[in-house]
Amino acid sequence: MANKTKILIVEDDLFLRRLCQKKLEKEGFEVILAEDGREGIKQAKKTSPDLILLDIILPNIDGFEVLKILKDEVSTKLIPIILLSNLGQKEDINKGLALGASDYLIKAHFSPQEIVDKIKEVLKK
Amino acid sequence: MTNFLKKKKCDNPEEVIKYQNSLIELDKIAKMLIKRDLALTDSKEKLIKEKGKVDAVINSLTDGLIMIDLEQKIILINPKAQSILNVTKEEKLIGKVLPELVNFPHIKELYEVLTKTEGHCREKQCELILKELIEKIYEMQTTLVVTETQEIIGTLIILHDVTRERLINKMKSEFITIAAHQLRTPLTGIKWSLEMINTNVITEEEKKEFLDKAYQSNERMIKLVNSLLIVSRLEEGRFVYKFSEIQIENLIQEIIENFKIQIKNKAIGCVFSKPKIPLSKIKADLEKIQIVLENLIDNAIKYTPQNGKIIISLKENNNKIEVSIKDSGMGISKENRERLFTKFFRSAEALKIETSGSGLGLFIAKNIIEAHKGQIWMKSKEGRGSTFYFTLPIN
Repeated sequence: MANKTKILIVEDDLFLRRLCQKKLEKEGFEVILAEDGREGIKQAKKTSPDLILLDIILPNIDGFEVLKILKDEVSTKLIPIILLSNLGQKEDINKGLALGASDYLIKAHFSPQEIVDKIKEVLKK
Repeated sequence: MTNFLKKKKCDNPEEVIKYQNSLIELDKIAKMLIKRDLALTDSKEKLIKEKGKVDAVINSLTDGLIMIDLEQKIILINPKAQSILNVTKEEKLIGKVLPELVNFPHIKELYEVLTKTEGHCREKQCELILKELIEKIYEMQTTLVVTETQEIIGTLIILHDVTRERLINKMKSEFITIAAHQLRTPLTGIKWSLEMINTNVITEEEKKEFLDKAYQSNERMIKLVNSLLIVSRLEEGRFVYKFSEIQIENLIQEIIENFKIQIKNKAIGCVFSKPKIPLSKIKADLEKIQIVLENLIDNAIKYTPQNGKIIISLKENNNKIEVSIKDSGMGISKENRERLFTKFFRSAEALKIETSGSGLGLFIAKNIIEAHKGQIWMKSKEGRGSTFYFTLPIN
């Protein structure tokens, strides 16, 4: 069990976090949770996850800022990050990808299964 | 002249007639000259008057107007243009060449925009952004000035302030972005839980949990759509007020009753202190005041911890009724207090406790209270709670 793939979910909405966690656990991932930006950065450094699912609108430090900090940090810059947000403007998507996100998913457009598929796709690269 | 003619007329009758005719002729010419002179004076006056009129029109234009000749010499500039370009009336700009006026930062910027695309003689429309206390945006329209004989004599530059329009557009697009985000979040919750339930990968217990939560998400969605509709009606000024006589203590009592379950669930001590003698009735829109009270009391319950306390008080003085709702929540930091009543704003403190709020409740409350000519404000001590106040005039 020690070599389970570790996913960090940074999501402030309790219900969405819970649903996402359940789905990923059913798929055999180990899930770490963070409910705001600051906690997200802390967990990313502490647990070195294999992939991060990152929301954008977050209390204290927003997702773009978290992404920037993690991509600037030697210990975390290689961790693939998928932005998972309900902001869907072109500028947001471009900004996220420019900052180094592996992908950008609009929450309401993806089902949990499709999110899992995306995670697997990014992990394969 | 007449004397001379008179002298002559005795000599020869033919000559006399001739001279007499000349006299008539001369008289005619003199009259004509006088008439023309009068007409000339008249049209000169008219011309001055006309010019005055044109000047007045140019001077009172609300758009900035500048005309430059082919050598880029300023030949006309109206007061509005002077004020836009931040030059005083005393500066004699007429006759000066644009590229030489680099000492005036705004004129420099204008000149740069003007020359950015293929010289100044092209007709075009571009944007002039002037950095001041608040950034000002002008639509800059340049047109060639052509005489009746098809000769180009210069360029006319019109500066039209579009700062406000741009701001409104920006606010509109921000509104759509945030509204879309806020609407998508509960929708995502519903979508995800339905898929989880449908794929049968979860236990019966989890199924029940997700159904419950999906139901709550749906409720949140309904509330949000209602709030958005209220906001849009408020902003269009279509929020029709149906005024009736209201006994506010009865209304508050009713609303507290409606929140009984939530209050009990969190074991909150809720005190309603009303004066012993009934308050004066107020003329207000019952439904709208109810929205305000519900928003404020709902907030107080939401942000007060388990076993906390809420005090709702009523006061009547200076011909108005003051309502206050005091919670024992985490309070709101000074920097967030100012933006508290603005649309979609959610304080960091509130986000920590409840991420699902719409950020519309206090904005709606403020609009309703102000439409009733009342006031709404708040006081807070960080870590110790907040008190929200509003007043309503008694007729």
